[in-house]
This record gives sequence, C-alpha cells and structure tokens, in this order.
Amino acid sequence: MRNVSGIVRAGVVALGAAALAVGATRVGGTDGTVQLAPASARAGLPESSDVLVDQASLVCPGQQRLGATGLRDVKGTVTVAAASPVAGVVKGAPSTGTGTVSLLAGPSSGGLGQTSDQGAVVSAGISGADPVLARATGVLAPGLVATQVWRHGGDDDRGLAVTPCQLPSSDVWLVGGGSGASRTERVLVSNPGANAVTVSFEVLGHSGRIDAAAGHTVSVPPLSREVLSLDAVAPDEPSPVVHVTATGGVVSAVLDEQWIAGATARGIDDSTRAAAPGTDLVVPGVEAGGAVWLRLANPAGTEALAQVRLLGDKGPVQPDNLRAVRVPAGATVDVPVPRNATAMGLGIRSDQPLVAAAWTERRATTADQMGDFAWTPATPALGGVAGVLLPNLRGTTKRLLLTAGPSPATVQVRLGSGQGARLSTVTVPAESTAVVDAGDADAVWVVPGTGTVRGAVSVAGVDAGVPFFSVASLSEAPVRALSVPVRQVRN
Amino acid sequence: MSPPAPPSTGQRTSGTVDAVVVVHNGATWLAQCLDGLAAQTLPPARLVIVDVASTDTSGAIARAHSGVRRVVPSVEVLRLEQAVPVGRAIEHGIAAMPAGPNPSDSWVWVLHDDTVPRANALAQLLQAGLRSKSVGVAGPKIVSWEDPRRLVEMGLQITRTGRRLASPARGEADQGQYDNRADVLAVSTSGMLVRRSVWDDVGGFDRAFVEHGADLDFGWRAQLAGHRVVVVPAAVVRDASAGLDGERPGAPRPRELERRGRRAARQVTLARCSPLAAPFLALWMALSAVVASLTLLVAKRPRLAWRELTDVTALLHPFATLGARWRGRSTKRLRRDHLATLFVAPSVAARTTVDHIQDAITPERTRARREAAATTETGPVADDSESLDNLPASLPRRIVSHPGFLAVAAVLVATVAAWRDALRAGALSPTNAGVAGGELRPVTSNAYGLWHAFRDAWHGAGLGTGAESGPHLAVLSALTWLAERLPGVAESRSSAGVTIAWLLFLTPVLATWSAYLAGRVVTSSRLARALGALAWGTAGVAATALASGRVTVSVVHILLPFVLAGFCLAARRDGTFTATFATALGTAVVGAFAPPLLALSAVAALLLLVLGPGLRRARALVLLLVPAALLGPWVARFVEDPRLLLSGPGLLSTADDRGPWGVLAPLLGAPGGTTWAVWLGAPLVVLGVLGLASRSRSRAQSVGLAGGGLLALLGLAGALASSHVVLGSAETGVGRSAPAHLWSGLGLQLWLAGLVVGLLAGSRPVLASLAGPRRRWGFVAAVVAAGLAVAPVLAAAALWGAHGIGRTLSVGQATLPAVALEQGSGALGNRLLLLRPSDDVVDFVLAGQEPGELLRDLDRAPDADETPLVNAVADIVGGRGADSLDSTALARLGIGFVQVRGTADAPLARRLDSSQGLSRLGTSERGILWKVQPLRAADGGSPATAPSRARLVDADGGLLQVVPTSGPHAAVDTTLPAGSGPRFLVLAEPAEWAAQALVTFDGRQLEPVAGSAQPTYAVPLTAGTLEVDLAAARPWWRLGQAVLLGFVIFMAVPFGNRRSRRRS
Repeated sequence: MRNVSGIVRAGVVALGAAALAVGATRVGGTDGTVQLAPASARAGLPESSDVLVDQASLVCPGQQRLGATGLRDVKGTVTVAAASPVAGVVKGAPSTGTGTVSLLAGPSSGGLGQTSDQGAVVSAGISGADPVLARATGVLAPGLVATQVWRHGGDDDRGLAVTPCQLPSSDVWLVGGGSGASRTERVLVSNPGANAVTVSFEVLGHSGRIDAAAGHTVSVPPLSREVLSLDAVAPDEPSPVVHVTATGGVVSAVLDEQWIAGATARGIDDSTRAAAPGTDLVVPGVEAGGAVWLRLANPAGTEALAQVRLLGDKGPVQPDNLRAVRVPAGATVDVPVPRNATAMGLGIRSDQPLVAAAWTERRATTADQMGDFAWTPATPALGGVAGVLLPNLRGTTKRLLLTAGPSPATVQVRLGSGQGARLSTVTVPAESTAVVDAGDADAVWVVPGTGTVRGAVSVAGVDAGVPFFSVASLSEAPVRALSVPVRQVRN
Repeated sequence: MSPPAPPSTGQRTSGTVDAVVVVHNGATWLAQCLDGLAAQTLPPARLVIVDVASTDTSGAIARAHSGVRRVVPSVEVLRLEQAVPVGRAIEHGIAAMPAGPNPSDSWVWVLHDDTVPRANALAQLLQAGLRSKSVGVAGPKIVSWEDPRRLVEMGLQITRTGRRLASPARGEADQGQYDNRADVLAVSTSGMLVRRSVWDDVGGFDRAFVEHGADLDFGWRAQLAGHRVVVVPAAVVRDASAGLDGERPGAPRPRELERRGRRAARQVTLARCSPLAAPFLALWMALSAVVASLTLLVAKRPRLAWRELTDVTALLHPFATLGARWRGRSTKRLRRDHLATLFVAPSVAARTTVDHIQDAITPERTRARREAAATTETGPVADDSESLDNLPASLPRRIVSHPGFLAVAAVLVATVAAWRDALRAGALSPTNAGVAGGELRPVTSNAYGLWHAFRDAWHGAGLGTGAESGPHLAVLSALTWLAERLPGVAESRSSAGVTIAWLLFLTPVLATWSAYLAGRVVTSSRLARALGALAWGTAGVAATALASGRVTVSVVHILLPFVLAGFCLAARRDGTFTATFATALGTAVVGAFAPPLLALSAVAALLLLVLGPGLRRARALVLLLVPAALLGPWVARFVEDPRLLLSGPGLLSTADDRGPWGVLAPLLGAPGGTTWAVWLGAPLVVLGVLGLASRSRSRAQSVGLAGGGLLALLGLAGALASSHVVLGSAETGVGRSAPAHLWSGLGLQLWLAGLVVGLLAGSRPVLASLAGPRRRWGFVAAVVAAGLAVAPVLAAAALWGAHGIGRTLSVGQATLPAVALEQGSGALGNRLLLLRPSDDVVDFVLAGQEPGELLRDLDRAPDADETPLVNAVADIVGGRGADSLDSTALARLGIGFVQVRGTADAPLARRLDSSQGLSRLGTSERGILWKVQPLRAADGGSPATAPSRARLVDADGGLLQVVPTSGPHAAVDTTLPAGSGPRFLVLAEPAEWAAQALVTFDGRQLEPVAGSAQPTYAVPLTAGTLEVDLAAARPWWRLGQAVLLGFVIFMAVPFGNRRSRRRS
C-alpha cells in the first residue's frame, strides 16, 4: 500500500473515537466523577429555619359595640391585657435581653401602657372604638399573648366576651350569628398595617352562599377598624359563616354577636377566627351545662359528609345522630350536640374541607331564663406556648379545657402570671378532654409537650342570678417564624 | 565576462585622460575592474590606484596586475595607511597626477574597485566631454554587475527638497527608456569623468561632503559654477554596488549606508539651495519626514518609516551645512533657478510616491493561487474557479453560481425558517429587548452599560463586585456599539439584548461563511468547502447551542474555523505575521468567551514553539503570548480559580447531556439529540474519518491531517469526559442549584471541526474521480461518497429549518417596569428588588442600571458583604419582623421598587402590602410592583421623590438632598451648593466599594468615614464639584491592553503585500 500513513491516521482516529465511546458507556453515573468544587443543590444557602420573632403584634378589636353606623352603641367595660411569658417558658429564648410589651390604640398608635418585664401583665381599660394593638419587641416578643374582656351588666345588653387578640391574617373564617329579631351580628375588621387594606366578604348560609354579601368590600384605613353589620348583607340567615379576605394587607376580624330573644337577653359573645377549612377538625372547649350546637360550613363545591364525635373525659363517643351529617355544597348546617356531663371537645371528620364552631349557652333556671352564650371555633393544634389573660374577672369560674389528638398529650400548665404562677403538668388521654380548674388565676399559660393538643379557657360566673359565660380559644402565640433563606442571583 | 564592447566611435580625441581607481578591500572585484580598464578602446594615459588602507589582497592585485600595465603607460599604486572617505581618496589620487599644461583638455576618470567599465566607456565619456566645452563632468550608465540588462543608476535624480529618487529603480530592466537623458544635476563618482580644469575650478570635494553626498555636492557645485554635468548612456559601467549590497568587508551595513546617503542628499540640498529657501526647506524636510514616516507606519513598513524619520537628522548639523554654503559661494556663477530643469519635477515625484503606495497596498493577486498550487492539489480537474477566471461571466451570474455564496444563502434560508416563530414575535426588532431563555438571561443594557461592567473597578449586577470581569463583556460591548450605529438600535430599550439576539440569529450564517473561507487551508475546491461550511454552519451542536441561548458557543462556532485555519497557517512555512496576529486576536476573542479553548490554543502554540522550525517559533510565540496578554489580568484569575479555565458563561450544563441515544448522540455531533435525526450526522463522521486517510502530497499536509485527527479525538474526549468533571454548582431554578459541568458541545465542536478537515481533505480524490473517472469502481465509490456527504448535510439543514429553534428562547423577558427603568437609569439611580419566591427559599435580584449576568455561570460567593441586603430582604420575606415591616432599610440600599413574581394572594405579597413605606403601584403579568418611600428629609433638607443611590445627609443621618448619579454604581459628577452644617455623602453601595472608588470634592480626594455601614464621606461646607469616579480597574493594565489591541489589530489588518515588503 502506498498510503500507509493515511490509513494509519484514519485508523487511529476511528479506533480512538470508538474506544472513547466505549469507555464513556462503561463509566456511568457518578462513578469516576471528579469534583473540582463542592456542588450543592442549594448553593450555600442556609436551610429554612425557625427563628424567634423579635417583633410581634396582636390585634384586639377594641370596644366591640361602639362606632357602627346604624347600630346601637353599647359601651361595656373593656379591659385589654397583654403579657409575655416569664423566662424559660419559650424554649430557646435568650434569658437576657431587653424588650417591651406595649398596648397601642387608634390611628395615632397612642400608648396605653407598657412594660419591659418578662411575665408582667400590662393592662388597660379601653373606651374608644379603635382597635388595640398589643405589640412586643425584643426578648418579650416571643410568646406574646393578649386578651380583651368585654363585660356589661344589666338587662338586655348583658354578657361577657373574652376575646383572644389575634395575629392578623389575610383570610379569616368566622362562625357565629343566627336569625332572630334582635339577634345582631357585626363583623369587626381591624387593620394593624400601615397601608389601607381592601376587605371582601363572603357569607355562607343555611341554603348556600348569600349573593347579597358577595362582592361586598370595604376599605380599612391603616390602624383602624371597620364594622360590617351582618344583618345588612344577610338578613334572617339562621346560620351564617363569614369568610373575610383581605387584599393589600392583613387584618384581624372578629364576629361580635348579641342575642335578645324577645325580651330575654340570651347573651353576647365574640366569635374569633376558626381554623381554615379542613377535613379533620377539632373544636375544643365545649362546656357542659347548656345546649350545644355545632355549626358546620362547607365552602367546597360538593356536598360533604361529616362524622362528629364527642371527645369527653372518657374518650371519644359517637352519637348516632352525628354519625353522618350532610353539609350541602356552599352551605352551612347547625346540628344539635347531645348533652354531656362534662366538658368535651368535638372531633369532626369529613370528606370535604369544612369550617366548624360550637355554640354553648348557660341560662338561668329562673324568671325569663336570661343567660349568656359562647362560640368556640375549631382551632389548629397548639405547636407552642399559648395563653389567655383574664383581667378584671375576679370571682368567676375559670377552667382550662384541653383536648388531645389521636395520641395522649402532656401539657405544662401555668396558672397565674409572673413568678407566682402555679405550675403543673397535665396528661390528656388520646381523643379525650381534660379539665383544669384555673381557680382565680389571672392568666392561663399552656406549653404543649408531647402529642397534639387544643384548648380553650372558659369563664363563667353569675351576675344577679343570671349566668355570664364565655370561652376563649387558645391559639399559638407568635414565638417563631419561618426564616426563609434568601439568595441573591445576578439576573 | 562582459559582452563585447561596441566598436570605438570616432578617432582618438585630443584630450588626455588620467584614471583614478579607489580601492578599499575590493579584492573580489579589483582584478576585473583593472581588466576592464585595460580593455578600454581609449586607455587612460596615467593610472593611480589609491589603496585606502585595504586589509585584503587588493594592494597585491593592484601591484601585480600586468594587463593594465601593458596598456597604461604609467601605473602608480598609492597606498593610504589610514581609511579616508572616498572623496579624500579621489583627491589624493588626482593630486598624485600633476595637471598638464592645459587643464581644460585634461580629464580625470574616477573608478571604484567594484566597477567594470565596458571597453568603450571611456571613449564615449570623453567624446561627450569633448563635444562641448561647457561639459565639465560626464557620468556613465551604471548597470548591474550580475546582469548588465538591469539598470542601477543614470545620473543622480533628486527633488528640490533633496529627496533622492531612484530613477531608474535599482534593478529596472534597461530597455533604453532612459537613454535620452543627458543633463543631470550630478553623477555618481563611480565612472565619473571630470575635466581637470573644472575639478580645479570647483575645488574638488567640499570637506563637509567627502563620503556621502560627495558626488551630488560636486555635481551641484559644478553646475552652479557653469559647467554642465551630463550622463552618457552609451558609456556603460558595471557596478557591483559592493557597499550597498553589503559585500564589502568592513563596510557599514547597507541600510546604514543608504540612510547616510539620504541624509547627505538633504544636507547638500540645504547647503546648495537658495539661502532664503533654506529655512523653509528645513521645515519642510522635517514635516515631510514625519508625515511620510507615519504614512509608512500605517502601511506597516516600520523599517522604511524609520528610514524616513532619520532624514530629520540632516537638520542636526546646521554649521556643517552653513560652512559648505560659505565655502561654495566663490565658485557660484549661475543663478540657482537656472538649474530648475535638472531637478525631478514635483509632479513626477508625487506620481512616483503614489505609485509606490499603490504598489505596496494592493494585494498580490497571484499569491493565493500560488499558495494553492504549492500546497494543494486540485487533481486533473481544473478548478472551476479557474474556468471562471478564464471565461469571465457576468458578476451576478458569478455570484449566484458561487458555491460559497450558495451555502451561505442556504443556511440563511434555513435560519429564517428555524427562527420563524421568534421572528414573528419580534425577536430581532429593536423595539424589543432581544431574546432570553435557557442559558441566556434577559438583559436590559447598552454598549455603555456593558463597557462599564467590563471596565469599572467596581461593577456588576446587584451590589457589584471588584473582581476582574470577563473580557467577553468588552467584546459584546464593542459589538453592541457597532450595532448602535444602525438606525433604531440605539433607541432600543436594550441594544445589548438586540445585538445578542442578532448574533444568535446570524451564527449559522456567519459560521458557514467563516468555515468556507477557512476551509481554504485544506482545499481550494469551492464545492468541497461549501459542503464543509454547510455541515459546520448547521451542525447539531450549533443548533443545540442556539436553542438554549449559548451565545458564547455561537461566538466560538463563528470564530473557530478562522482560528484553526490561522494556527494551520502559522505552522506553515509560508505563513505570515499578519495572519498570525489576526489568529491571535481571534484566539483572544474565542478565549474570552470559552476559556477552555484558550488553554487548548496555548498548548498548541507551545507545541509549535517547541517543535516548529525557524520563524514559525516566532509566530508560535505570538500565538502563545498575545491572546493571554490581550485578555490581561483576567487570565491571572485562572491561577486563583482554575475552574474558570474549564467553565465560562453559558458553557455549563447541569443536566445529564446524555439523551436516549446515549453516547451515540455526541459521537454523531448532536448533543442532546433525541430523534432519529442524529443519524444524519453518521455519514459525516464516517467520511470525515475516511477523509483523514487521504494521501497527503507533502509532509506539512500529512502533519496537518494528523493535527485534524488529533483535534477531533481531543474534542471527543473532552466532550465525553466533561460530564464527569463537576466544576461546582449552577442555578437551575428559584432557590435551586445543581452540580454543573462543562457542556459537552464545546468539545464536540472540536470533534466536528476535525471531521470537517477530514471531509475537505477527502474531497480531493472524490472530486478527481468524479471529474475524470479512471476506474469504474472508483467512479462509483466517488458518486456514493459525494451522495453520502451532500444528502445528509442538506437534509439536516432542512430538518433544522423545519423544526425551528424550539421554545426555550422567548422574546421580551427583560421587561422591567418602565418607571423602575427610568428611575434606575436616571439621576436617582435606584434599584429594583425583584423577589422570586418558592416554597422554601426566595431568590432575589437587585436590578439596577448595571447589567446582570448575561449568561448562566457557576455559583460564586459574593464579593461584597451582602449582609445588610440579605437581612433586609430576609426581613421582608421571612417571618421575623411580623407584619410591621419597615422599608427604610430598603431605601437606604437605594431600592426604589420591589417586585414580586406571583399573585396578589401570595403571602409574600400580603406581607409587602402591609409593610410601612411600601405602596403598591400595580400588578402586571410579571408580578406586583411596590414603590419604596424615600427616606425622610431632615429639617431644611429637600425631600426626595424616591430612594436614591447617592444622598447627602446631616450629622444625624437626616436626608439633606439627593445627589444625582451619572453612571453605574453611583458614579457622580455634580455641583453641590454650600451647606449650613456638617454634611455627609452616603452611597448605597457595599463597604468594599469604597476601596475602588475615587471620591473628590473640588479636586480634593475625600476619605471614607471609618465604621459606617455604607460608604460615607464628609463633604466640606463650601459649594463645589463632587465627583465619584469608579476609575478603571488596574488602569495601567487597561492602557496596556488597549495599546496591545491597537497594535494587534494594526498587525492583523492585511495591509500591504509581501512583494513590496520584500523590495523594501
């Protein structure tokens, strides 16, 4: 051959290419991979982590029954109290450091009171129609709890409303109200932010969504509140459930209800935020001693089938009539709950996400059987410290009602405020409700240990022979926030 | 031997002639010279041989030459022990022969040892001298020693300004074209016949001009004294020009001699011109020398330029000139303007200059063919180019039948088809911001922005960086600048984006064109080159790179053929430095975009440096050093982070490149190919490898083909290995990164290039067989091979056109809100914080007028301390601060707007809605936009309309006024009014910025206030000009780069030709 070199050349290339190809198929996966630099999927970002908040605000509605156009003003005795737990309650919190807890009211955010001691309760009487902000900073921010107590004696407008102040959010479900000549409901929407917020309402009723309420929006100026009369948008609705949605910010919403049946004052209470629609709900803190109704709302587009169990002190009980409760699509249902000897919780399971709250009442046995009622919404399980402050409620019976989830739960209970609090550890059997008598404590703190637990604090008393009664649900205090890692990218 | 002399003309004349032969180390020629003298039809009466201190055998020859002694009655050898100038030697010789009674009938004939007079030379000269009493000096026609048909000199030709004109040019063929010349200003002393009376009258040579310019000065003075100086074409003297040819031992270098001659001519002119004109002439000489020198420098004739410049030194000896003028005053009898006709007319001088320039810069038309003929073999088939040249068709017909043009046109059609959707969406329209997607990020910038991103000491997106920026930014900036010259582009919102889109669009076309041109180094066949170019331009790897917006790969695809061809040329014997510098420039550009190829080219240059013979080493050195030096300090970063050498913007891949075809797809040159279409690459691979086997005509060709094969294998190995070398991580999505490796396509480009080399080499036998089949089976094989080569390439191009470029690239992603753009690029210079939330992480972009990263690159740790920024953003998106967010942290960072990608229902959107100091401006499909409230003004301060990049604050931090910015990263040039109290300039930049920026107030440099979170400067209370200059990083480096770039471009411009250079 004359062209040996050419053939050799081409042959070497062909063989080399073939060898490389075969070699490449042999070295697969991560074998034989050289790492010149660590390759991380997250490029050096910290993971999402819980961090202690260094600023927390809770919104209290202020004088609920003042300042609504077209509705009668009833000025109650309103006390707002706020406190941060004593050192050691919040896990991981620094034992030293500074911070304040303060109460602020109105658009000017005028100060009503302030403390910089951990565990100290700052309280103030409220007379205006503005929302009250409980704000804590620094080391006092984690575990901030605030409660507003509205109380009024007399004939018609009598009652007690213990309202836990809420973290603002953009989406609030409120369960409460009903039909009746003098049964009035007002939805108080407070905007704690610096910008105006547009709030829209959706009302679910006995026979479906109420069109008159659809598209009803109000603009809430910064640091103010707006009041919506539910009777104006959904008159004669026997079982309303209100869905409040905020655009352009976050709000806190409370449904304040007063019921005077004929000449009989049936009471006053605030219904606070219910757990978001879910298929497995628990309504804790249903007191015994009066009628109990459960209101279920089905925001979904298909009918829901729900099963309701009573979670009493001896474990779950399944009443027959609550074995299968049908909740039509977009509608609400009130179901009576059999009386129970002790306090209980209600466990609701359904095939569609539901919103739920229980209504309980206490009535006098004499005369025209005046009384008071309380709304207890389904609440999410407690993940951290929670508490209710009970200012200005001497001489009442205060009970802490704890309902455990599917497994037994241990809860550390702290009754009273400051260093003089009584400490105890309560074990709640699975799917049962335990009752802790709070005595005359002005504060109830709960720190969940094992298991899932929900709770509420009921306050009951008698005024001139007529009971007054309210239940405040426990909701988790702002302690930790999810710190989302941020990363800068160059384009 | 000289040709037989023509018979002597006329009878013996009455004049007596004495001869002087000046000898200095002229043993080589002297014997012949004396032979010539002896052979004269009219021998001289006396001969004096002046031996000027010769160290060779000249003296002996002179003493022993019997021939001359037989003819000349009196021969005397005058030995001078010291070397003296030729003028002095001649004077000695003449002095040794006492003048006769009638000096006007007595003549002296001067010869140099390296001249051989033709037999009748003296007779002819004397005859001319005797013809008229007025003739004082007669000179011969001087022809070349080796070839008497070539002229050397016929009298000295000089312009009025003293510029010697080579007329005739040395070596010009003698066709009698100068034989009508008679009166000249002066003649050379070589063969000069001078009347003794004239010699005495003029007084011999002036002492200022006894070496160079002696002949010119003597002739000039003779003319001024009223004696004619004539040149006698019939008298022929062969002259070896031993001095000028550098053959005389011990003589100065020829160039030096020439320079001295030129200088002397100028000096003589200054000495003999009109005294009034002398100063102007001197000025003109200086000016014209500089201008001519510059012109020659531009024409890349540095040596000639230097020679021109040395003419100026003629002005350095004014006293010598003045002395010569003083001494010459007594013999001057004629008015100077009587000599006007003896000078070269200015028009002739100008025409000669123009001819020279034209000659120097017109490309050598025949060169390419010569080269092709020397290096390639077209076989028995006459290349169709030749037939076209022989039968010139009309220009349009030649164009449309040109295979290269057809290939480019075909690719253009395929490209337009492939881009049809993008074109419809306005991808190339200047009203849009170009395309983005895949590796290519949306960019809103222009040439100015890109340039500053490259040049400024503190630059880059977000808070910026002080690290050396990639030189690809400079290249893109230059391209954008050029594009901005086109109507409409400069007004575009993102001329950079539009330019990049056009670059991507034109990549296949330009790559085809470059491959066609570069293919010439392998074969001159246009058909083969067109096919190879088509295969290269529409290669799967290019299409894949385009579809994923890999601009860097596009640039490589365009330039790689040129660079490879350039390396090939540099390694050839007949390579040029022009091509080498062009290759170095191309390599630098390729390296700026794809550092791995820079490394490869350095290795190749190093190999050539070590193995290459002769001048090729110098070229290799250029290829090795110039690209690295051009890229400047950026190359130094490779040492800090070697990953840079293996990666590059837009060169990464985070996915497994292996598709369903596994290793087959890269082998067939189509990375990530998923369909059967990958098989279209198979014939190219087979033919490419087979082509490498084609017989090479020369060793160089064989080495070239081996190089092609090696390149292919290296590329393939690199492509297959790249996925096994993880270089770090690169962003894959919001909050996500993945291990990144070099994209295999870069290696596949080399693999493909090697195959195309094989294809082109293999085309020769195939085309030969097709044109003149010698064996039937050979013809059949050739037809099959041609079919296999052509059909899949065309099919692949058509398929690409039909499939389109995919959906990765989309139009108009770079749309930041107009209000943010306006404020960002205006005097406020504020930024937009773009948040991209995902479930567990939020990515954010700090978008200002500084362009962001153009292409995806490796994740790198930030250069600046980002803590304040990250904390501010974390506070916004995280839960730490509850609902009462304060936006002042954002305003302090110069953030004017916040945009969130997502719906209004998103929790983050709600958070921002409730934040203090943020007010929602609106919602668009790109997200929701918030405006950040500016910082509160201090008492007496002027409130701001929006947060700004630079601000003036009082001692308490209250805003006094916004300081308008004039460029990226808070460049400021403004006048501040007088202040009433302590005031500080605060810049919304990271602390590291202060180390790079130069802040001056009324020219005085300000030092940053220590311990402040942001760069802060105390500003004096007086009114004054405040300047913040982000001086170029490493200014000396930048200057050096610029100078080098200018030099390389100058060297790379194919200006002038070898022919003229050889002659010079």
